[in-house]
Amino acid sequence: MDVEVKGIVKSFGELLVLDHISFNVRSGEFVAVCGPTGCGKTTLMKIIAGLLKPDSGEVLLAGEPVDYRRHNIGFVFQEPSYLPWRTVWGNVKFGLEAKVSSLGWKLTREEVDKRVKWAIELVGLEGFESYYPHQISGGMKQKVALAQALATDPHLLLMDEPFGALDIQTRYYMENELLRVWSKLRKTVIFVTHYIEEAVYLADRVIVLSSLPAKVKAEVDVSLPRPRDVTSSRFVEIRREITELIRWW
Amino acid sequence: MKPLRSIAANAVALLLFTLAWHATTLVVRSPFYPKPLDVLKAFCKLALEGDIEGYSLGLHIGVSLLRVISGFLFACATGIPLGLAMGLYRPAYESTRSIIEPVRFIPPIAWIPLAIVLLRGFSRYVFLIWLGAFFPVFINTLASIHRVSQVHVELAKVFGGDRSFILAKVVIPSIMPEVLAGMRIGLGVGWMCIVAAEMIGGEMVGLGSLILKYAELLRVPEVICGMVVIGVVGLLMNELFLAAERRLFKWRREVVV
Ligand SMILES: Nc1ncnc2c1ncn2[C@@H]1O[C@H](COP(=O)(O)OP(=O)(O)OP(=O)(O)O)[C@@H](O)[C@H]1O
Ligand SMILES: [Mg+2]
Repeated sequence: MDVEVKGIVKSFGELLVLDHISFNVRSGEFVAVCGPTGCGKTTLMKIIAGLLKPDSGEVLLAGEPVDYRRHNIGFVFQEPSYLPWRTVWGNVKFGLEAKVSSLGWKLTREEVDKRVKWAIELVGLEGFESYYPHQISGGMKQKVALAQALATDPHLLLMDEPFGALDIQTRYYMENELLRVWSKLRKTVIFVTHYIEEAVYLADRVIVLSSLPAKVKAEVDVSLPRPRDVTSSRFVEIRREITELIRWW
Repeated sequence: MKPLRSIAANAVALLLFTLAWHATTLVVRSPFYPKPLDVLKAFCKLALEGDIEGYSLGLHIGVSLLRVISGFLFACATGIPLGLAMGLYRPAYESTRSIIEPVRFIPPIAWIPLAIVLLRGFSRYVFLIWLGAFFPVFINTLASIHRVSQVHVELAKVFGGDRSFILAKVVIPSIMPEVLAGMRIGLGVGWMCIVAAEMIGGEMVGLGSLILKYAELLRVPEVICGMVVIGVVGLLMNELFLAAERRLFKWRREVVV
């Protein structure tokens, strides 16, 4: 689903956070949004999802103003969002339950179960269906969040620093898992991170935000074939380019 | 502590307590301060033969339980919805604080005269026990709404969940542990109100009535026997509740330990 972010302005009281943010995302594209801590990335993602209203500007999904009731959006939150009272299975099912009970999706119980099973297998969590969140690792919790978002087959997947809390090794592993899933499904993804390397490793395009109040400082195309080699000269060059961009602000 | 060690330690503590009690009776030497053995004898007599009017101890316990549970259920039926409504809609609480908060500190016994004037029969018991049980249930429910995580609400919203979905699938599961803890405390407080409630019930059965009846006869062993039974039944109800909580909130293991 095409995403158009048009002139978004947002302040909290006196504090101007987002200052005319505009960019587009094509259907099926993987875009990373990169910016310093506290620059308003989460705020921007919540506005794109329709969870927050901008002061001015608008977000269009497939040409229409965003509405999470009409558009099917998957959101992986920066903070842990798993429901501790539900098992892995129950967590993955949660989004589908909302769609069925509140949006009138016509799905039989078997169809719901089939989708949950599909999503759990997709992220490689089979065998852990009956575990509670406190019984699984941090990386697996993020897989639960991803499976939960994917179970509803969203047209747009918003991921807000999903791997920020993981150790480096687990993060690399999860990045590759995400790419594996994405290459299968080709969803439109907007992925927030403040690790430049992560952005360059994952995305087709990197949108670089400045520090507060955030403006779009640059859009950098990463036209490298996947899987990417983080030590290749081209990769290092793009990484340096973005680092310089951020540094000179 | 391992269960076996804990049982052994408690048995020893209980024995020491009984011995200490017995020792004090040797010092006090009052005919109205019974020895542990006198209480045990009174207990056996009450359990096997019943009291002076022939009501058995089991009947006293059963009748009191019925009254307390009625009042307790009434407290849940009012405290949980009201706490939920006021927790979700804070202004309702903020603007009625001046009524709710003072009422909370009036001891149930102080309500006895009014209860006598206004109520008859079974409703007197229910009312007094409700007074004791209501506030723990209500206050815990009210306060528990803060425990609902904003991320969970946003998660439900972004999937399209409407208000009733969020209430049923996010709010209620989030607050359940707190509400149940409030219910456990409420049941305990309600149970403690049993003597006060049975003071005005005007019937001769119930653990409170038993105590009052024997107090008038100056037969202290039976009075203490009633006290001990109230304590033990309270303990059992509490343990039962705790076991249910542990079962229901398996997912909380990590927090509770
Ligand atoms: N609800 C709010 N009320 C007031 N200020 C807010 C609110 N939410 C965010 N802010 C402020 O807006 C700014 C941007 O916050 P935001 O969470 O969007 O940053 P971020 O880029 O996601 O940060 P991080 O990289 O640490 O996740 C911060 O200065 C924050 O203090
Ligand atoms: Mg953030």
